[in-house]
Amino acid sequence: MSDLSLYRNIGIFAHVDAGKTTTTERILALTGKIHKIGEVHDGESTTDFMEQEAERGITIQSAAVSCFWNGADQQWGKTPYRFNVIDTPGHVDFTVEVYRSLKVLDGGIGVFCGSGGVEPQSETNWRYANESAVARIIFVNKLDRTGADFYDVVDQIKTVLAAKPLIMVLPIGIEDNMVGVVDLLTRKAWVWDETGEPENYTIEDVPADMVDDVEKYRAELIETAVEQDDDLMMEYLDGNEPSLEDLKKCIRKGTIALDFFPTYCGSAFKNKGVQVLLDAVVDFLPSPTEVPAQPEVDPEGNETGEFAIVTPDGPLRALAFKIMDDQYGALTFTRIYSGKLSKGSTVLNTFTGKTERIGRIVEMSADDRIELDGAQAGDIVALVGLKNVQTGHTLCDKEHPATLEPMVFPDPVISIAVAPVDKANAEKLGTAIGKMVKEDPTFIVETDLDSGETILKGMGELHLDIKVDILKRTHGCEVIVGKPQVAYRETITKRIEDSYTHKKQSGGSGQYGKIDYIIEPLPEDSEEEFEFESKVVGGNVPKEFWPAVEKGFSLSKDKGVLAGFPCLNFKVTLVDGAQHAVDSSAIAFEIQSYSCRRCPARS
Amino acid sequence: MKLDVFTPEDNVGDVIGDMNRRRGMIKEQQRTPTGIRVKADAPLSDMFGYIGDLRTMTSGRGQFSMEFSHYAACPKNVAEEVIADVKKREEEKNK
Repeated sequence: MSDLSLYRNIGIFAHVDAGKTTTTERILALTGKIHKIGEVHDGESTTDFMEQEAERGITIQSAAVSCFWNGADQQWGKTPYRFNVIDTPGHVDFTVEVYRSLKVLDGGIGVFCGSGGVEPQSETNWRYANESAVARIIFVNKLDRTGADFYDVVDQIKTVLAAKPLIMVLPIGIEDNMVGVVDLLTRKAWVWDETGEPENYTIEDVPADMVDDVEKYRAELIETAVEQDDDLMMEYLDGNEPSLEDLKKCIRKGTIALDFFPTYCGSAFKNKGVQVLLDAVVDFLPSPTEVPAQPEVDPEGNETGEFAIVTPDGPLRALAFKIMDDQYGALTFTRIYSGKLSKGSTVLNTFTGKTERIGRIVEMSADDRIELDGAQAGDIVALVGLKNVQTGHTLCDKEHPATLEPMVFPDPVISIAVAPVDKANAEKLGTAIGKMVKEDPTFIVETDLDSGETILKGMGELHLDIKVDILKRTHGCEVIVGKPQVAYRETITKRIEDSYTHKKQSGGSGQYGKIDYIIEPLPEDSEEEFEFESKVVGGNVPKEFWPAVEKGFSLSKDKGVLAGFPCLNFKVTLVDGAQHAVDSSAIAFEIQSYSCRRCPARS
Repeated sequence: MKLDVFTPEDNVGDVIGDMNRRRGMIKEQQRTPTGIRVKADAPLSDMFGYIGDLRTMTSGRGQFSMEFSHYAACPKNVAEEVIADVKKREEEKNK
């Protein structure tokens, strides 16, 4: 088992066009490749490289990918850092999923477009990350593009996001002339040649025309960094420049505290500046042990005061954050917060209360998946073949149950009816919906008993829009979509007293029951949706029939009289009634109270 | 519905005006470094298509989330409309 301080669980988030995919691809290409070269010392042809690139492009879709980075200079060659890169869903309308992704991250890279600047989507993602207090570094991408301006983007980050970017590198040249970056801390220029290969760079001195700029920004950088440490600050004010190590420590501290965001730049597409960024991930983003521990909650979402401290020695706590289907079956992506997970062990799913046997544990790497015998705290791994685990479920030690995420989701508020266009699509619809329900706990599917329509229920119009889109695009299922419906409720407003007699004594076993009852509204802030009470004395309605009467009323409340919506917030009191010695039975009273449902209409 | 709307400062007026048209009740306004957060209660039936309108009003920068808060009696005219609508659909089904 490896050292936790060598772990970096990072996510990449950005506006759709900022180059999130390209950057992720480059990171994987670079780490995978260097990892391989470290072993084989063999170059690969450009075409080969591009083909794999395409392949990896697909792999990135798979939520979490692991890779190793041993430094641009191989400076960590013996102890490579393990990166678990998570693809954060670009679409923020999946609130639940974005939140969950941010939850399993320890740090992130915010990618911004060099010419587009801070776009609306990056703004939204940034805000989400702020709420989850995720440490980030900034990568200003696409500086090779026409109209790119690094300094302008940095200004926008200041004004629009109200964040404090800490400029760590300056671009050399811009647009077509962009050849590399200057690392401010070391005053070294990284210059890439024309081949576009990421390894073909040389470390040079700062170009003569940039010396002034470099000194200016370097001074700013150091000033901001030493604010993290009073002693260094005093020393700096005395004119002594802190050592590189001390500066890095300060920057790391400030980054984890979200005081500032180290800002890098380059062009992922042209392979410029990505290594510098990866070194920064190692230098400045927190390892799993450096972020605040995940609070544990009870099933209702109240914090228990316990924390899942990231250590392999604690009891197991793991969170399933993404379910993916591929040709090998369902993969459950899981972040382990504490303890160890081993192949063949049995764990408890706190949501279902059932135990699950861990079949295979795999690690997604850039090219393929690697079978593991076990995983430990801080890891992000995929589990194969878990049937009853859904997104958001907590897996834990049987002896020490805990929940990491509240399992209470708000009730769906909007529903639409969908119908398949033909029979072939009906089958597809069934399987597709089954899979989708598993992935999103806020998405509920029901069948309308009256009309036989499939009703999709969700958190909002957009949520359902996207679900229908997934049905059509991902699952290739053509459906006809009805208008959205609001889940109205009915209630009564006035107290009434009424009586009803159910009589069916014309042959066969007869049914007889008579009840007198009061229906009245409950106070508006009442917890109960429906209350039933019996005040019958003297046995006119025998005690054994009371539950039947209650059942009859509660059945009838599901379909209100005004427009067929469920009724709530009312109370029924049974006051008196009558029975027949032979013909009265529980079912008679049930039918009878169900039949009374016309009565509330009068009020 | 409990609404949490985020809007850049320049568009707060439009957003609040629109919210009032939707029978929304503004509960709270919060200034954040990047804009204004408006908290409000509004009936779901008037919130259809809100994201589109919000984006139009805020040049794509606005954002909102809503969740169920509580049921409230709806005005008579709305209730009548809903009931008439259901009746009409049921008649069609029975044909």
